[in-house]
Amino acid sequence: MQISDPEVRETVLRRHRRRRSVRVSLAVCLLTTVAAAVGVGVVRGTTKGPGEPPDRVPRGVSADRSGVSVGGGPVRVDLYVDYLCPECRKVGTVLAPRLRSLAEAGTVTVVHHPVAFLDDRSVPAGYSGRASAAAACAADQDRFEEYDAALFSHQPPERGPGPDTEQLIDIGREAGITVDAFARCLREARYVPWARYVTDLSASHGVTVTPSLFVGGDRIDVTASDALAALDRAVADARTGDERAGSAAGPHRPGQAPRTNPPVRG
Amino acid sequence: MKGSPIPVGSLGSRWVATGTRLVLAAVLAYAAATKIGDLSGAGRTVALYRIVPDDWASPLGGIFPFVELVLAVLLALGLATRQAALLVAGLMAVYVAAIVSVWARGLSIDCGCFSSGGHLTEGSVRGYVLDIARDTGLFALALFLAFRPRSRYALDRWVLGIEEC
Repeated sequence: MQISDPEVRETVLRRHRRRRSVRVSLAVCLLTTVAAAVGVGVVRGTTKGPGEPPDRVPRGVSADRSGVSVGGGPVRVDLYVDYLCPECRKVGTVLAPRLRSLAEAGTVTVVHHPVAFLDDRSVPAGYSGRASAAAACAADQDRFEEYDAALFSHQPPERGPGPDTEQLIDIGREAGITVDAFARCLREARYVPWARYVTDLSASHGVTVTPSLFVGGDRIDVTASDALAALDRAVADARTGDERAGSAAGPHRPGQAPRTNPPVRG
Repeated sequence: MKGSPIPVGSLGSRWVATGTRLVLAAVLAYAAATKIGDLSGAGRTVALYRIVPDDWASPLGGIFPFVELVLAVLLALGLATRQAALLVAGLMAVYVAAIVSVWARGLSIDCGCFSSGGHLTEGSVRGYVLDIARDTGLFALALFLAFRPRSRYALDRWVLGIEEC
């Protein structure tokens, strides 16, 4: 096409450019959307469901097998920690003693979920899972809380190897576990499948970060500076909520159902 | 902006644009690769920011690296340079806003920009300053490229025939 008039030629070219610019923009938007969809698809495809619960679960396991249950109080508290996570150590040293006394007083039932989200943060990988399985072995000796505290006081730095199986057995001595059964449990990696199950179950319930703390199904911000006060408040609220619900036989409070343990309706 | 003539630029500025393109492509490709290697970690990182509901965190953790990857490829090839650069600028603006928001709320985390993030016990403020500075720099580079998208060794010229400008 020969256009002699420079002005007309310029107009035609500008129109071409505009049309092309719109088309390219649309194509790039489409491409980006496809990439986003691929991303979501890959995540969906690789997220493992928890599968069947393993045959061997530690003593004191909660009804849904998602954690080790301590105490028998009416208020359910769910605590998710990874033994390699630095912030979890803080929770383990500051909040865990309070939870323990609340459980001993019969106020709460604490369900400990020792998850292994950070397996790839140790070199070689896998400390989180080993520690979680070891804690389950300690639960068999009725020493879960003591061992939990001992693991945190020996918490290795990230990117290191972390305690090996023999060292994990030694840490058990500090928690007052001296029996051979405990060492055997660790050496045969008895609860490694359970630790994986707990991890996958938590992830599929939307608990993706550690530490996470739920009182009666409601999340408490454990990284806040006044986490201890927030915990006490939440427990007190849940208790009065319980009593009121109990005395008036009122409707179930929506926040009361722990998300990891849906009430069974007959 | 639409249909406005794209600045031709001297040979020198075309070389500068080429360099900018490749720098942005390299950074994005590296960021995408580290995240795609650990997608569940990327999802947990999004959750750490506490901006979106927990249920959205995992899908978003998959979306970011794949979008980064596509933009890196476009920029490396020099294809739809202007549009890709604008999207990169938008992405960087989102990242900066997210880090500022985390900082303002007093959370202490590792941004997870090139890895899966985590909680930090110390040094988070220094990290925020560095991350924001880096992402702001990348934002500026992307904006520059959006306004001067003509570069050497770009497919734009062959595929889209942007020769008459």
